[in-house]
Amino acid sequence: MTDLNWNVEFTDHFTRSARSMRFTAYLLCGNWSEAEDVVQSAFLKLYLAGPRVARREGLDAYLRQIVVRTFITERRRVRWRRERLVGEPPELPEPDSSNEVRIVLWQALGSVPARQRAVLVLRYWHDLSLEDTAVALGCSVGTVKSQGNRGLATLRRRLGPAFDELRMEVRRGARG
Amino acid sequence: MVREDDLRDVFGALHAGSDPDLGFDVTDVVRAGERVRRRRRTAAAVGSGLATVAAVVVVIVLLPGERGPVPVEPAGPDVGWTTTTEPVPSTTAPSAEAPPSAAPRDVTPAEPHEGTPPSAAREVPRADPVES
Repeated sequence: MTDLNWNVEFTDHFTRSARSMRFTAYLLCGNWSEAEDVVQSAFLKLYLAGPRVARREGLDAYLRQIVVRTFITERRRVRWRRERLVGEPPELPEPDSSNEVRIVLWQALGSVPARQRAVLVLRYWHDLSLEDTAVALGCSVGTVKSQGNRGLATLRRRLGPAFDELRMEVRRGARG
Repeated sequence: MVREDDLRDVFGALHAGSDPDLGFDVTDVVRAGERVRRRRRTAAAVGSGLATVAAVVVVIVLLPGERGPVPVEPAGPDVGWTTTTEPVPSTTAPSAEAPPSAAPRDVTPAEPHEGTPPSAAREVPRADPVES
């Protein structure tokens, strides 16, 4: 495949999947700016590796794998930093009725360690099988199971019995 | 209790919320990719150039310089073969109790001298006892 053909295919793929990938990164990171950084870095890696990628039909899975691994790598790096310097003020809360509930949910999600959260997002947002999740994360199926169970247990501990109410609130807020 | 389906609902509900515009577009990514490729190409060219220079330097250092061929000295006179004159040890040691006149059994008799017929060599003068 020539560079010109790859550029056309890459542009098409970017147009199709950039926003959904950014939301995946948002679920992982918990804020839009970091999610954009992760997705931009992932698309750059895909662009550089593109002509060598043999299976064209697996581009989505490949990009998802890059996003998840970039997020985990970044989190591992961030662990050693005490504070992050940003050029802009942090995001302001949205004037939404379900805002408080969302914040509670995001805080609960944020309390789940990065790798466990990646398992939860891949399994329950992308509906990946245990095997596909293991491939995306580069670990064994047993690790995926244990990490998923621990992630769910952390959420259960953080949200407790109020989870159903919170969920309904979020859904009502999303519709309204 | 957090069930898997509940979690799926929560993710879906969060997805239905506000979604800001992308802060970058495909042109930014392609431009950054070209920049990285250009940097890699430059690094590869510089690296291969340095490797070539290093290989040339190693070859120059290891090869013999202006010393020229080593002069060959003429060969000396032929000394021939040298032989050792060590005695060959006998297979059996002579018995100390045997009489000096008795020849050892394993020793083969000496070849007769030239000109002497074999029969004469074997002839031993017989001294018959004279009966008185």
